[in-house]
Amino acid sequence: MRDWLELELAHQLAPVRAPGDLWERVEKAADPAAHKPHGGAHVWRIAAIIVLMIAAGTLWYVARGAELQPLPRHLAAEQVRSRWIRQTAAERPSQACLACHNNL
Amino acid sequence: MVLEGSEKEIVLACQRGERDAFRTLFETYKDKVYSIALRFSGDRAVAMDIAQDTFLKLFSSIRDFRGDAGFETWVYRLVVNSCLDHRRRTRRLIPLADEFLLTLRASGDSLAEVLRSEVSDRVRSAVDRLSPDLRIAIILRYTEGLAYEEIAEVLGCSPGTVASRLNRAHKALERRLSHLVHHPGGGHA
Repeated sequence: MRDWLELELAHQLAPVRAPGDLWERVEKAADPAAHKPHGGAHVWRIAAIIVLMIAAGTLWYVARGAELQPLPRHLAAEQVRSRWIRQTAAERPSQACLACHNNL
Repeated sequence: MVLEGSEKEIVLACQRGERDAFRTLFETYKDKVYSIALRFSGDRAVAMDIAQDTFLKLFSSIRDFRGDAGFETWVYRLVVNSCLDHRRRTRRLIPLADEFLLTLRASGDSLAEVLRSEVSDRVRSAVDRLSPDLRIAIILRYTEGLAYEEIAEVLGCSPGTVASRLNRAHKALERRLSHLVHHPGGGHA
């Protein structure tokens, strides 16, 4: 039995030749970046998107800040004057014309 | 298994990072590495994974090779470790996958072909069912033809342990394959 087994093992477990594409696989696995198509383009695309997002955010922030700033002095005075005219016209209609025509 | 002559130059060139030297080393050892991987796993796709893993480890760690052991022994250790690592990673999947593949193989072939390859399949299946420690000893012995001392050096154990493992493996295989042997009393048991 032992002789038969040893012969059978030597036959069944005999060495074989490695497949031809083994080197290619090893090479690819060793240097995946070199075989990845357009790897650099992805990085640039992502960088461009990030820059655009930052620019858009900055513009939005600046625009929002401008809205929240107090009115310039001459516009504020005009608003007060308009409010006074409306109030005078409602309370003392006879003097309302003077509000606008007091220089005549 | 001593590193000398041109092989030493190739290893030194690899340590310097020379690409052609890596290719030469690969060509020297590819069949040995793939054979052990295939005989251990019993599957070509798995053997390719193990062989690829072994060469990646070899190339990435060749700078650490100091020549204390023989280079061939060092390569054998790498492939044995890759086989055992792969076995550990896929331990739970292998029995189911094996059964599935055996079913597919049996249903796809004609009865005559199945009968012709019966002995071959049974022997390989019996080897596959050995524990990893026994199986790797059997493969180093019968696939690579290593002596007990060489196997001991690769596995990092004593020649006595190798002899014990081979003996246990032979007994287990004899038990499992005894029905295939023609007995003088008449026919196959």
